[in-house]
Amino acid sequence: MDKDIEGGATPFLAGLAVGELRYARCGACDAVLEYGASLCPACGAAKVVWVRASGAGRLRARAIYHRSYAAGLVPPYAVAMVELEEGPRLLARLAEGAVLTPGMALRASIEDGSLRFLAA
Amino acid sequence: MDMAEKGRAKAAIIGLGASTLSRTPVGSARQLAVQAVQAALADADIGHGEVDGLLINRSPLVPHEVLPLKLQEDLQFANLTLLSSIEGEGSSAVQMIQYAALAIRAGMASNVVCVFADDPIRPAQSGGQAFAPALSISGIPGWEESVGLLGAAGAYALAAQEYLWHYGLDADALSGVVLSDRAWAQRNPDAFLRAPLSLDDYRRSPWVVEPFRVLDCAYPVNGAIAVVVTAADAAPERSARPVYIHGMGQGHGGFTGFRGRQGLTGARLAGRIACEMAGVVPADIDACQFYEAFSFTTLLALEEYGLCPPGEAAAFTRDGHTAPGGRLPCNTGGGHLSGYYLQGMTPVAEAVIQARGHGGPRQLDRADLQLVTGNGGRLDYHAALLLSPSARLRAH
Repeated sequence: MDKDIEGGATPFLAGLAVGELRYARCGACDAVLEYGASLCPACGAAKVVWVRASGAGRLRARAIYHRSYAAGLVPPYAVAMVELEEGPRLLARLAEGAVLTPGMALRASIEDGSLRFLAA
Repeated sequence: MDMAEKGRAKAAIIGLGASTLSRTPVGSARQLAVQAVQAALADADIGHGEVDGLLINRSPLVPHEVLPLKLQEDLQFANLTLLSSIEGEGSSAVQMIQYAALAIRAGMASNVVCVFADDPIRPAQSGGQAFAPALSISGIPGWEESVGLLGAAGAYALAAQEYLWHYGLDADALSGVVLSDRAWAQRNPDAFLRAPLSLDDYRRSPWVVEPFRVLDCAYPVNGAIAVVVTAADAAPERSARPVYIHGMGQGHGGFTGFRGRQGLTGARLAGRIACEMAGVVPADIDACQFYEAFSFTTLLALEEYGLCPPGEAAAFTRDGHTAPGGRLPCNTGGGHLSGYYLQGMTPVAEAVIQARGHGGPRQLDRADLQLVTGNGGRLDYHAALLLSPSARLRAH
């Protein structure tokens, strides 16, 4: 493991800032943790270890916004639920113009700390 | 008497009251709550001084002071032995009734008032704006805002889309629920959206967050609803038409996606526990009043509560089985989509009306056992009641 940072989701955001997509595993039993977990559902340990994800994932769902709920969010835009190949589910933006099909393979792209998923 | 004794009522609802319900500002949530409580006490024909419990449910989108514990003073209930604000988001209304029943059975109170009030439509705020804050589903603080997943609609839309893709369905799959709700609303003079609606009309409804159209989303109103809960044994003396609580269950777990787990949400647990408590099976349920802030939640609830096999709820609703004349009437006042959205109290109120036989043109032939559900967060928090006009259910 190339990272060993305990705590909440901050290491995820810190990872993006240095161009790295991270997910969490249990430091006691190595189970894969969902984002937001502070305890391991398998063994109960409170040792969260953040590791680098491959960046590969699959599109499980997308919601297409046709209304703007805030200034700066110009519709239409899509928000995706991506399942990383390691297991955790991550909410993410998709690159503009991608043709979206159920279960399609995606890869993460991080530019200037901003995460997007593209067709793999 | 054991709480788990099957077939015998745990408590009863003896009063139902509503404030003015309106699409324009008609007073604060706190003022509306007082109106509803007064109406519920009048309906229950219960003296003001006989109330010893007050449970409060405010919208999860507003701060505590909108509907504070000080409501006790507004109402001048001076001798409460039970007072709390219940924090179950959309499952709170059902939870209030559950905790009222438990407190009564434990001897902590005798007559408990449960009230929900909300005023999402204000002079400078539309209903849509009131429901625009992000629902947290990512586990990463602030992440929803950073990816643009604002409003409850987007979070629910993701779950709906995953369901539709998984079963190979298109967005028309949601239309059965919308048309069924509207057909019921046409028989309910208190419903807000009563114009006839066709499938073509539905398809012309603009997208909000795909796969949801405007017509897939709840219709917000300002208003309040209250009920009075009392002991099952005391109910017949107090009310000509008590509505008995036979089953209560909760299940807390959010939408997991299709990853081989048994059930997709905590609703599966809530339903199982409620049915076990009542000594019934899902097939015994005559009608359902679901929490359906979005059309999709009714499809999912039909499956999670064991009323439809997985993946078949869309066809079930499109075939008219939940509509008037169908074999499992659902959301019989028009539901959240065509009736009105007062969160968990919409389904509770309709169940009480039907159990009492007060449904008028929409009255069900059979309402011996109704399922009432609450759903909070993004499919995270579930609570269920099984209600009957009978104090004893027939042995299953």
